[in-house]
Amino acid sequence: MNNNEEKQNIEVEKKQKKSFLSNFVEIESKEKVVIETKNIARQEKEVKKIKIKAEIDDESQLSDQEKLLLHTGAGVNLIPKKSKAEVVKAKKKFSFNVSSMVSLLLLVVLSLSVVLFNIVSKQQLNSATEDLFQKESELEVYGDMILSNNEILERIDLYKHLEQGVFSPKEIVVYVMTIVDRSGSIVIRTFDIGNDLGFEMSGSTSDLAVVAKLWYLLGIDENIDNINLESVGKSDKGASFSFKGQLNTSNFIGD
Amino acid sequence: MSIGISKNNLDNRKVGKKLATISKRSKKSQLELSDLVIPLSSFVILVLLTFFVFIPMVETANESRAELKEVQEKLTALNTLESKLGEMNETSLLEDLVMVKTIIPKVLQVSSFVYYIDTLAMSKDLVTREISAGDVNIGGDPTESKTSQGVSGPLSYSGRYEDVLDFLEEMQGYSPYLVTLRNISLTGGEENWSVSFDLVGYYIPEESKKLDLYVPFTPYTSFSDIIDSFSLRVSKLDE
Repeated sequence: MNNNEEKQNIEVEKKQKKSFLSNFVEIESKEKVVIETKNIARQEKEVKKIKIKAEIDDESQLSDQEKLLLHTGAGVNLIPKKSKAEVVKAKKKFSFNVSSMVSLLLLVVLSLSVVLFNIVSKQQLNSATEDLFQKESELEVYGDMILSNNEILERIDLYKHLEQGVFSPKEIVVYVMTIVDRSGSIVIRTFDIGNDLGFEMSGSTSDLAVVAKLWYLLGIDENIDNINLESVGKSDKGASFSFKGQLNTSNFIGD
Repeated sequence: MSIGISKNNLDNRKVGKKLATISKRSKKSQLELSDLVIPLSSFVILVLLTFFVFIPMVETANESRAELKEVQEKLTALNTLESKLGEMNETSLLEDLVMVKTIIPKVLQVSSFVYYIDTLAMSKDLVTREISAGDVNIGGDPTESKTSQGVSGPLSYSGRYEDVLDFLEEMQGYSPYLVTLRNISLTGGEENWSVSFDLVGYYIPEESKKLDLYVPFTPYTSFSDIIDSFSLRVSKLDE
């Protein structure tokens, strides 16, 4: 009885174990079925695409992989999907290549720009120099005119230079003689005018008072800068004198 | 039970393979020294080109541009010269040159100069007391003596007071020759006055001059008042 009961218990346990394992296998098989169905669905989609493509194009234009998929009907996708990190790294690699290209491009652009700048500068200079030579040869025709003009200008310059120191001797003599006449009866014996409008005057009169008056009038005159009585003398015949003075140049020169 | 374990082992292998491929790809996508070859080499080439090619080329280009600027300034000056020359009448220029050379000739002959002075004095009823003239270099300024020379000499005349003054005025102001009077000395008398002075007449010796198109050009017509004064003096000579 006990043995039978033990056997029954063992069989029950075996059945339970079998059912546990069968459950596990069932779960695994279910998961497998789901994955396989997904793969099959994906492969079917690809096959459909390829068939559509094959309908459009010739079968010869398909790649080997596509042909294999077309003839086998269904297959296993062994190519793993790219992870996000791989995609990012691939992008990084591409951007680095762009930087290389940019650096090379920069090099080329810089070289070209410098060379072009140089060429353009020299070209402009050559063109301008040619224009200059042409203009010079054109103007050489006017050479005589230019030289004649320069000769006239040279003489005008000399005239202007000399005019700066030119004074009218008549004007000066007449001006001083007017002052002398206002003083009284005076006879002028000598009247010398220097280049700097310094003057010396000597004469005679009847009285020393006339000499004094003349001295006074010459001294207060605005066109005479300074006046000195160099000598004065009195004799039986009358008084003699000599003055030395400086005329104001601005009033007598350059009129 | 054994089937489940084998399935697990298979999955582990797949995962391992996937990890291996991922690690390979990650290694491939890492920055390597070979990736820096192009940028670094281009940088080195750029530096070398800069020092040995670009800088000399830019310097040459800058020199060319500076020279171009000078050439353009010269062109502008020549254009201005051309326009000024275009405004001048060549015939009147030659006439004025002849007139101006009459007043300040390239050679002032002493005989003709003295003849003019003596004729003027005679016209004023003056009597010659002393007359002499000769070539002199003018002034103490070395630059002036290079460009102009003169005929100078002490002269002495006597006559009436008014005539003497008129003679001085006319010679100074209206002489056909460009003259200056120096050291004028008047000696009076009861009737006659005598005057003695140093007279200088100027002339500019002719020199061979080279044509320089780039000297600033001033048309002589800008000094029309002086030209008119010269014209008046020349008319006196013709009388």
